[in-house]
This record gives sequence, structure tokens and C-alpha cells, in this order.
Amino acid sequence: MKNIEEEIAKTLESIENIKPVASNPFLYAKIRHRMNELSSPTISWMTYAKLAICMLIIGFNLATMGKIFLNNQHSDMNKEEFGAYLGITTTQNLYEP
Amino acid sequence: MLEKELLEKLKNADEVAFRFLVEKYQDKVFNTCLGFLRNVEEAEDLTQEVFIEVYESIVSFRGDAKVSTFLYRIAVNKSLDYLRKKKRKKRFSFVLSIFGLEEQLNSPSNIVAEHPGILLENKERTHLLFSKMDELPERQRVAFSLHKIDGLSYQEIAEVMELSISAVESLLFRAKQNLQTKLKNYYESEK
Repeated sequence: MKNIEEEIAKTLESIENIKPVASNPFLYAKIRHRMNELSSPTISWMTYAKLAICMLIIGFNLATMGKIFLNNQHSDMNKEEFGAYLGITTTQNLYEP
Repeated sequence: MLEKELLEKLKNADEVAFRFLVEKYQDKVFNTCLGFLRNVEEAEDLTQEVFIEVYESIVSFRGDAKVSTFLYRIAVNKSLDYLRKKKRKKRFSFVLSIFGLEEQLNSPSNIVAEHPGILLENKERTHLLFSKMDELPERQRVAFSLHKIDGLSYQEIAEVMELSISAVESLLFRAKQNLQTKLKNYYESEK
């Protein structure tokens, strides 16, 4: 029993004999490098986001323009409607005195 | 550089002051992280993170505690967060290994880490003590580690953990008692 208690005491004491370890002398440089790395992706991420929004706007504009262009290729108007569009009610009106 | 002056300069993102802070406290922070993680690479990585967080959050520091206390607090919190994440990852990889999706159990991260400050003659005992410390409740483990490895006084531990001195005394007493019981069980089972 006494032996066990001695072992326990020695084991508990062992932690007090841990020597402090010297850290990396270039730690500051490493931190600075890491901080620069951390800050740069944010800028590029923002740039990519802005670029994507611009591309989307340009894309939508092009699509709208294309749609307008295609819609103007043919007309659904019949003869009467076209005449009315030109200010002519009927074809007979042209020959009336 | 005086503490008040240092704090003021740090709040103004002064490079010289930040360098001074890193060079003054890097060993302390590193050893605190090492005490929890027991792995040099991981501790160094975490030390860098601690200083980056200090640089970013020093503006919100009211100055009601010492800069060293602020540093220890961040170091302890970061170390505990890191260990929690590691534990979660380990549990997850264990589940994956059951389904044969990952062979994480044999990965290098699971090899017992070495604390370079452990004396050769105490190696076995210290490893045993560390394994029993890992079984302690978190607050007891933190108080015990800060007191025994970092050599912080009760007052300093109380400031870091934001507790009263009597609460720290109680935590340390219970930690020691728990460790004695665990070690007793271990040695009795060894016989």
C-alpha cells in the first residue's frame, strides 16, 4: 500500500519537472506571413464576387436584347391591324374620292 | 514598454508594439498550448493563431486585466477548442472506419504525442499522468495544467479562468483528489 502511495506521489510530482520549451525564434515572421495570407483571399474573394455580379448583369442585358431582337423578326399583326397601325382603316378608303 | 502604453499602441495597430508583444510572450503562450496539446507542430500553429486573434480583438479589450492574462485566456480557449474539434474528428473518423470508408485509426495524428520538455527519466510517469489528466473534467484539467505546467499562481489562474481564488483552490483540490484515485486504481490493477 505504501509502495502504491509513493508511486502516486512520484507520478504527481513528475509534471512539475517538465522543462519549458523554447518557441520558434521566427514566430513573428510566420505570424506576419499568415496574417498577409489571411487578408489576401478576402480581397480576391470580393473581387471575384463583384466580377460575377457584373457578368450576370451583362448576361441578363444580352439575353433581354436578344429576346427583343428575336421578337421583332416576325409580326402577329394581320392586314387590318397593320392598316390601323398605319392610320388606314380599310383598303377601300384609299380609292374613295 | 509599459503595459498601458503597449495596450494603447496595440489598439492603434502599431507594428512595433505587436512585435514586442509576440517576442515577450511567445514562449509562455507556446508552452501553455503545448501543455494542452503535447505536440510541437500543433502548439506552434495554435500560438500563431493566438497572436493573430489578439491582434484582431485587442480593440475590444477593456484593459481591466493584464495583457498576459488576456493572452493566457485566448491560449486556453483556443487549445480547448482545438482539442474538442480533434475529438469530434476522431469520433467521426472512427464511425467512418467502421464502414470501411476511412483508415483514420492508423493515421499519424493518432500516434501518442511527445512533449519535448518531459525529462527522460520521468517519461513513463508523465505520460501516465497526462492520460489520467485527460479524463478529468475540463475546468479541473485547465486549472491543474496552468498551475503545474505553466506555474501560474492561484490569483493568476483565477484571472485567466474568471473565477474566484477559492473556486480555483477547490478545482485544484478536486483535480488532485481525482488524479490520486485514478492513479491508485491504475497501480492496483497493474499489481
